[in-house]
Amino acid sequence: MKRVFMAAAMLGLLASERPRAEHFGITLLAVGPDGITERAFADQTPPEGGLNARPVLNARVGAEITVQFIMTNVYPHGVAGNAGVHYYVVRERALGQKPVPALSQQDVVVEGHFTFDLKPQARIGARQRIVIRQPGTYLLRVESQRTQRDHEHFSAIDLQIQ
Amino acid sequence: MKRFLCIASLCLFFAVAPCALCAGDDLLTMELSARVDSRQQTARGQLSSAPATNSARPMLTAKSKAKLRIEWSITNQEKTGSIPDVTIHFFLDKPYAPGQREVSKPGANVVYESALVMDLAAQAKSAADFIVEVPDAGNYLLRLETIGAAKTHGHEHFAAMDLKVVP
Repeated sequence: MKRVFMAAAMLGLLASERPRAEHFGITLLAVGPDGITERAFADQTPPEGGLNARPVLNARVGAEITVQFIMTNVYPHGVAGNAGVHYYVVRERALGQKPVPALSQQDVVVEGHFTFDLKPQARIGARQRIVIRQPGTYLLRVESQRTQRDHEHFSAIDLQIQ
Repeated sequence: MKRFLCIASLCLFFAVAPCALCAGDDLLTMELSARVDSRQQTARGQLSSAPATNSARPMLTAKSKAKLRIEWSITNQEKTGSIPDVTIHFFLDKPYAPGQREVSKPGANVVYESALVMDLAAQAKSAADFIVEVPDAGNYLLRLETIGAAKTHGHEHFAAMDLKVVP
């Protein structure tokens, strides 16, 4: 009986440790005016804030920064209707903070949503020039929404504006 | 005489029918709107293959550095027909003379550009809304267009408006 319990516990542990399938390939870029580029790739949530440390792009107040992302749905099965992609630049308290800041009107620099039926190999990309006029720490983040999976994917870069 | 009238009305029907189908009965609909402060403009979809008309593009005037909210939607109202592998392309770029008809590809310094590669299933709708900072003074073009729809749908669609930015 003891052996049965041990085997069941081991199976449960293996099930919980099983790596989750990747659904999205993401490449996120932030390019400063001097051409310095930071790149981030797909991460997933939960856990809050993801698994990877975020790169940091340093730039001056008023400098032009180009942000770009390309997301590819690499999940080969089925279509997720009414799925979404959400991206934004928002002021945050500290570099690398795990909680995502509230998207209040005064803290959001730019924001965008796409809504579409997500088919296998669907691709979504955007490129935008932004200017941040207040010094501080900002989060650039793009994330999947409503993909009908057990977790969502995102990619993020911190912007340190001085 | 009766035969002549029949043939004439048939000829007239075939001459007029394709235009009517192009203009009013196309079941792929597109809308582009932009809002800044309390001003808003909306542009509706047209066929890329339609002959150029003299009607001017809608124009929105905005002050540089204001927040511009842009929304677009595209709906395939067909009951059964899907449009596979279509790219929905949007850009905000300069320089453009107001109303300029020739459209070039966005340059490296495009203010905003996005693309979705997807299947437009029957009854499916895709949409986007986003905020951009109004760029420096000048004339800009906002354009939403399909690329690759012609393979199965027969033609492409676009919606466009001018953005005049004042200092």
